[in-house]
Order: sequence, then structure tokens, then C-alpha cells
Amino acid sequence: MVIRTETALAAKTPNALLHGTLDALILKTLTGGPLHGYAIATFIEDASDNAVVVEEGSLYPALYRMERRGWLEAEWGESELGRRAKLYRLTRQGRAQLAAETEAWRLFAAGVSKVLLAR
Amino acid sequence: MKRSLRSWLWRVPIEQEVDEELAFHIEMRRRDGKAPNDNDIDRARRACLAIARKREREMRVTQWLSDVNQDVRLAFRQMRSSPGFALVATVTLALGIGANSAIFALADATLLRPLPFHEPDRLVAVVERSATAPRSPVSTPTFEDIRNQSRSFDGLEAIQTGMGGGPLVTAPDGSVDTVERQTVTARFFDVLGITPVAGRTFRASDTPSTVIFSESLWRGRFNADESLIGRTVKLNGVPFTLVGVVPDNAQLARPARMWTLMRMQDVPAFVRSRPFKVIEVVGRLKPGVTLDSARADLAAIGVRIARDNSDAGKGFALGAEPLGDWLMGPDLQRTSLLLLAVVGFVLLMCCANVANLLLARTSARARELAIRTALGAGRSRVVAQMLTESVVLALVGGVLGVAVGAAILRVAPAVIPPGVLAPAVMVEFNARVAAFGFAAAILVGVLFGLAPAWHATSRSLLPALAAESRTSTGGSRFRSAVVSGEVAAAVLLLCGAGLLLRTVLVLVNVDTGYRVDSSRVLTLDFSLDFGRPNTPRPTPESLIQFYADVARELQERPEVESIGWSSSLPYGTSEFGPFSIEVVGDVPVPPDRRPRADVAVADDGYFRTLDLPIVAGRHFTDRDSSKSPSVCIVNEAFVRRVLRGRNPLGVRIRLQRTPQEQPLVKEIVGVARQTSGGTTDREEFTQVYLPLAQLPWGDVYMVARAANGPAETLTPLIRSIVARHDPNTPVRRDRTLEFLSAQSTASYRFRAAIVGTIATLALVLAMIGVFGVLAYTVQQRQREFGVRVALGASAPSILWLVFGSAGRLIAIGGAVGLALAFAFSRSIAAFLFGVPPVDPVTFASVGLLVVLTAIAASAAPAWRATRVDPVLMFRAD
Repeated sequence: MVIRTETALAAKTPNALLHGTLDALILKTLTGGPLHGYAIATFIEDASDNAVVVEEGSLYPALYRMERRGWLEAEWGESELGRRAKLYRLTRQGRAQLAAETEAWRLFAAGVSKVLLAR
Repeated sequence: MKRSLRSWLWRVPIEQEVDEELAFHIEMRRRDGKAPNDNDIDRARRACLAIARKREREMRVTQWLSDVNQDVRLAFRQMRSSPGFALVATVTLALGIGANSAIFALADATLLRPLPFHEPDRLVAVVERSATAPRSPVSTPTFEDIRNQSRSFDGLEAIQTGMGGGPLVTAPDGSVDTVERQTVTARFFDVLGITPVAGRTFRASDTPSTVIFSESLWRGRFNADESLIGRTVKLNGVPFTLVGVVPDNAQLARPARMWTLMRMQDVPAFVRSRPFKVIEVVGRLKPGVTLDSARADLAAIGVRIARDNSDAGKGFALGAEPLGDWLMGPDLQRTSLLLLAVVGFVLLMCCANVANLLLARTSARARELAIRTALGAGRSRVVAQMLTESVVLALVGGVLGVAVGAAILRVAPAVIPPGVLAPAVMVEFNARVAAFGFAAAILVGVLFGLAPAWHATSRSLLPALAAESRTSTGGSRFRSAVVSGEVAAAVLLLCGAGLLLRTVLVLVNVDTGYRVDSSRVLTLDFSLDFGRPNTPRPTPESLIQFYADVARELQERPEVESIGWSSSLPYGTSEFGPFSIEVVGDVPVPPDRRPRADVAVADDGYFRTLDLPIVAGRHFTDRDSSKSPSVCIVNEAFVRRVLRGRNPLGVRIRLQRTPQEQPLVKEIVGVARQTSGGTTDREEFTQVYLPLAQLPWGDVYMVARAANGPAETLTPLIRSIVARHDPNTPVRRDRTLEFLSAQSTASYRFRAAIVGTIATLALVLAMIGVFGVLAYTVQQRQREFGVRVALGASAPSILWLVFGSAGRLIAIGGAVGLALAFAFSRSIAAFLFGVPPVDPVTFASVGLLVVLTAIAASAAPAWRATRVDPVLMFRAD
């Protein structure tokens, strides 16, 4: 994942945060229903106005990792164009995880804002 | 979770899945007009594969655990659904595993477990060998020679075990009892590596008036009183200093609860001769010295002793044995092995029986299994499930079996006759025995589970699914073979048990020569001091007077029918042992070629009390005294073997224990009826009786015959009368002649009882097997029988069909069993007495027994077969 911003600041953001952030984004994306990997990437890019670019090398390992943790379930089904595709679905565990990540992000973002925007 | 399990069951290889997913991704990108980044795709592929593989491994473990869980539940459900089967199977297993656990405890104690001493591998027993005895105790001069000359030992110590009994000890509560004693040389406990519980062990500087107690004596009679150490205790009224307390496992060879110090300088002169083999010798090998090199060392010393000492005896040699082997004795170790083999057989039969029951059930469940297979359960899953069922069954049986084993071992000490086990051997229930029981259970479960599992999965699905399929001939043939095998094993065991039992019957009926009712004769051990001034019996004459006085007083009591004194007891208890014999006037014979005979001193009361008739000449009388001519009575074998049948009366013989000793010259005045030495002696026993009055002796036995009632009732009377004559005289063990007789055959009875019990168990198991197979067959062939009955077959002809199949099982099994018995019975020849290993009577009785029980076992199924309702044939499932 690359966060494309006007400055180079994001490149220095700690990796763990990026991982967690991508996970949260994927989980959030899947709340709308099962999707295949490409659709997930496209949705995140569109929804972020292309501020976030999701690369394959990060996306698929993240999906597999979350499947192993039981946050996602994968099943082969049909894509919107009638092709065979692997669809990911949020599990109950995944929903709980999303709630936790969202809360963590809210606290983090609020904290960062407080510092950066302080007078 | 359920969904992911399903997707896992119908899974495709991971690589293919990842590739397909990424290919779809690339294609979608292309469609959107974006070029794929090959590097990035490749990175994704590798990372995904690694994660997916890890996940697969985890799922396999989860799957396995859930399978096991499911199988175990299923197994218990199966057991609940057929309680009869579960009951028979678990009880069968419990008996088998219980018997095996108990015998394992014995084998563990006698063969496997190291001795409870420090570095037991380095402990050996030194024995003497002679032309007639492969291992005997050691004489004191020989012991000292070995001590001086041997280079193999870190310590070489002697024990004198005594004939039993022991000094009287007064406890603090005033109670007086005899306590078994051994005398040992100073470093005995140190060489064994025994740490005292309290106080210390002996020192070379100790006086002979020091004593060490065993822990059980100290705790039981002296309340574990530490302050007693260093104080005085009285043995037979003589003060000794208690220096220490040692654990009970210090008792070697014979039971002992007390040890006194043996110093070589105190050994009486007459005992210091080579033929006096009175001490047991144990030694600790120096580090690095092997048993073989110690043996070579001892052999060389033995050769020197034999060369320099003419009284060493024919075939004199020295040997060493590992202490464990020596303590247990080859007989006990052989017995343990025999029992282990026998009981292992029984366990195999239990396996076979349960396997058979399971097989029958598997056939009944053929459809269930076929449906599971058709629904996609793999062969390995079905096998795993069947195995789980049998292991669960075996474990339930194992829990019960270990409990049975513990119960057997609880009562065992009361059943095992005294003298069969060395005192250091503890046959007890412990963690090792329990572990063995459970290990056996699991092994057994896998063993008897394999056959049905294999059987269940090896068949084609179609016949099982087809409703009309009722039998599986392959399975029933296998079952029949198993049952025939069981019958064979039962026959083999019964033959062995029969031979051992016949041996006991022979022994009971051995003519020992004593005509008396042995339950009415009491024997008591005496050990009387005499010949020291200022004691109750300062002279040999006063000793004889003591014997006469006690005898006369007892004889006057109405409860006592007869009383006598002797240095020997029937069934092999002899104080003196063999003497060499020379007939005065015959051509001189060199000492080592002279015939030998056991010598006993006795008074006339001994012959009368045991009802041992004098067949020629006269009895001993009061006139045979130290002042009259020296006389003796010999037995019939003596006349035959030593005198070669000449008229014995008036013949004078010279008796000598060692060539150095002054010979005793005796005139034969009478011939006593033949007696056997030990009950199981295979040679004719030659005996010379000397009148007690002409050879005053203090270590004697009293024999007393009760006028009516059991012999034991005499004990208090005798004790009180003896105490009136000399309160300090210990009356040691009192045993009935019946007990002595039983003890002399104890190991034979023990073996016969155990093997007999196990063989009976085997017979029952085999018959359960026969019954099971027949019952199952009858059930499977119900339709056939129904058709036969409908077509007019008579009840007897149906009966005949069933008995016929039973007959085949029995005939094959019986023939194989008898053939095995013929082949193997020679291997138990050492345990037999008066019975040939191939004994037609035994074998024929076993055959008859098996046929009769087989008829009984097949009666119920046969009867059921005749009651089949012909209407059944028209019924569908």
C-alpha cells in the first residue's frame, strides 16, 4: 500500500501502522458484502480518491493472513461478470476486529491532530 | 468454521488456488487498462503460499483433534447402545489385563527391577561348587582364603542365616517373642551400601555383644525409640548393645529382623572345617572388575584350595553369581518366566475374543460402514474410527483390569506360600505395574481393533448395501480360525496345568514313610546352652536330663500322646547333614569314595511320635547312654545301598564328617522303615540315627503328638512346662508336621494353583469364543434354518448342523493344542515330579474336559437354531 500525499511524510510512517490500517480498510470494505481481491483494491482506491493505492504484494498476503486468523472466510464463487473468482466475506470475528481497529484509528488520528494542529 | 472445514475437505492444491486467484486479478487489471507489476505479483504469490501452508497445517491438527473427539464420543455411544457386548468385552479384558498386571508385578520383582542396594550391578554372591551341589554356602576357612587371596573385591562379607527361629527378645511392653536373626561380618551393611535408619552399622572394633535391629522390628516392637540406640537389650536374657537400625531390605536369603556381629576369631573350632559350609558370602566388585574376571580370580583360588586341602571334597570349585540371581534362585526366575508366558497367552486369548466379538459386530454394522464410506469417509477415517472404538474399549477394560490386578496383589501375600519368595522381593502394586497395565491395554486395543478395521474396509461396498446380503463368509472363516486358536491355547495351558496338578497329587501321595496323622504332630525348635559352668546345664548329662525331664512331664499330661527329640525333622530339615561312612572290617576306601548318609540324633520318642516303625532289631532304650556301647539305627536304604543287603544287625560303622575328625564308631542295632528326605528328592535317602544320649546336642527339635484335636493346641502347655524347667530357654517356632509337609511342596502347589487358575480362565475364554461364534452364525443363518425347517428339516438335524460346526472348531483347535503340548511339555519337566512330560492320562483328561465344555457352550445357540420361526424367511429387513 502506498499513501500518496503531497509530502513525503507518509513514507516515514511506521510499518505496523500501515499493516493495521490496510487490514482495517479491507475489513471496512467487506462490510458491504463479499468481494474478490481486485474489487477490494478498486473500492479502497476509489473511496480514498486514489489517495491510497493498494498493491498486490500487500493486498493478497493481508487477505490470507486475515483468513488464517479467522477474520475472513474465502469461497470460490462468481464475479459480477460471471467469471470464477475467490470471494472474501467478513466473519463475526472480523466485525469485532474492525470495531477495535476503527476505535484505535479514531484515538490515533485524534491524538495526531491534537499535536499537529496545536497552536 | 463449518464452511471453511467443508472447503478444506473438497480442497484443491494451494498453489493452484493462489495462481488462479492472482490470474483473475491480473486479468481484471488488464481489462481496466492497467499493466500488472510482475514483481509485486510474484511477492504476493510467495507470501500467500507461505501463509496458506501454515494455515493448512493448523487445520490438519484441528481436524485430527475433532476426529478423535468425534470417534471417542461415537465409541461410547456404541458401547451404550449394546451394553451386553460392552460388558462381556470389558470384563474379558479386565480379567486378562488384571492377571497380566499381577504376574508382571512378580516378574518385575524377580527379574526386572534392580535390587534396592547401592550400585547393585557390582554385588555378587560367592558360592562353593561340588560334585553333588552346583551351589552351596561357603565354609569359614574357604571364606578366609578368598578374603586373603582375591583381588576382585572392594569388600567380601559373610552372613550366617541359621536354620530359622531366633533369640527371645523382650520388648518394652514386657512381651517376649523370638526374632529371626542373622549374624554378619562387620562391613556387611557397608558393602551392600545400606544406610542405617538410626544409629550406625557394625564396626570391626565392636564386641560380639552388639546388635542391629531392622526398621520393622524397631518400629513395631520398640516404638521407633531413638533413645534406645547405645542402650542394652536382652537376647535370650543375655545383654547386647543396640548400635543401629537398618531398613528391612537388608535381609538377604532368609527373613531376619535382627543382626549380630560375626567375628572370625569367635567361630568355634569345630565349625572351622571345609565340609562345614555354613556361611553365605556376598561381595562388591571393585570398580571396573567384571563378573567374568572375578569368576576367573575365584576359580584360581578354588584350584589352590582343592590342591592344598584334602577335605575340600570332590569337585570343589568356587563360583560367583550376580546377587540378584542368587537371591531369587533359578527356580523362582524360571517360575516367573513360565507364568509370564502363560498369562501372556491368556491376554492374547482375551484379544482374540474381543476381536471376534468386534468382528461379529462389524459384520452387523457392515451397512452403516458402507454408507459412511459412500458418503465420502476415507478408508483411513473408518479404520481410525474402528481403532478408536477398540482402544476406548481396551482402556475401560484396562482401568478395570488394573483394579483387578491391584486386588489380586492385595491378597497375593496370603496365597503365596512362605519360602517361595526371597525376603528382599516385594511383590506389590505400584506405579510400574499400573503403567504396564495401561500400556498392555492400549497395545491390546490396537491389536484387536486392527482385524475388524481391516475387515470392515477391505470389502466392496455393493454387497453390503444390497439389502439381501446377509453373511460374509470371509469374516466367519477368520473368526473360526481365531476361535480354533483359542481352543488350542486353552488345551495347551490345560495340559500344562494338568501336569503340574498331577505332580502335586503325586507329591501328596508320596510315601514319606511316616504313618502318623501329620496334623496332630507339633514340632518346636530349641537351642539349648550346655556345658558351661554356672548355667542350668553345666554338663552334657544335665542336658540329657533336661530332655528326659521335660519329656516325662509332658508325657504324663492327658493332652499329649507322645513326645520325642531329634536333630532332624521330616521333609529335609537336618542339623548335621551328610557324614561319610566306612564299614569296620571291610576293605578301606579312600575318603572321597565313601558312601554318605544323613546323620540325625534322636531319642526313642521321636520314632514313636512319628509312628516310624523299627523293621528289624531293636529301638533305642534308656540303657543306651554315654556309658554303654555306642549304637545306631539305620534306615532301609542304608542297608540296600551302603551294606549292599547284608544283615545289618551287629555291623559296626565308622562315621566321619571330615577326614580330620575323630570318627564315631557305632554298632547297628536296628533298622528303621524307609523315609524320604525331602518330599521331592529324586534319590533314595540314606539315614543314620544316633541316640541323643550318646551325642548330647543343644540345637534340636521337639516333636509332640496330640492325643486328640489339632497339634497347635499343645503349644501353650509345652511352653509353660519348658519355662518351669528353665525360664531362659527359648522355645522357637512351632510348626505342625502338616505345615512342614505342605511347605516342602509349596512351590509345586504354588505353580499348580496359579497355572491351574489361568488355564481355567483360558478355557472359559475359549468357550466364550466358541459360544460367540456359534451364536453369531446361528443369527446370520436364521433364514437358512427357517428355509430348512419350512422344507421339513427336523429339530435334531438342525441341532446337528450347529454342533457340527462347533465340533470342527474344537477338533482343529484341540488337535493343534495337543500337538503343541506334546512338543512343549518337556520344557516344564523341571517343575514335574513323578509325572512324565508327555502324560497320556493328563492329555486325555484335558481332551475330554474340552469336549464337554464345548458341548455346554454350544447348547444354547443350537437350541436357538431349532426355534427359528420359518416365517422369518418371508420377512424383509
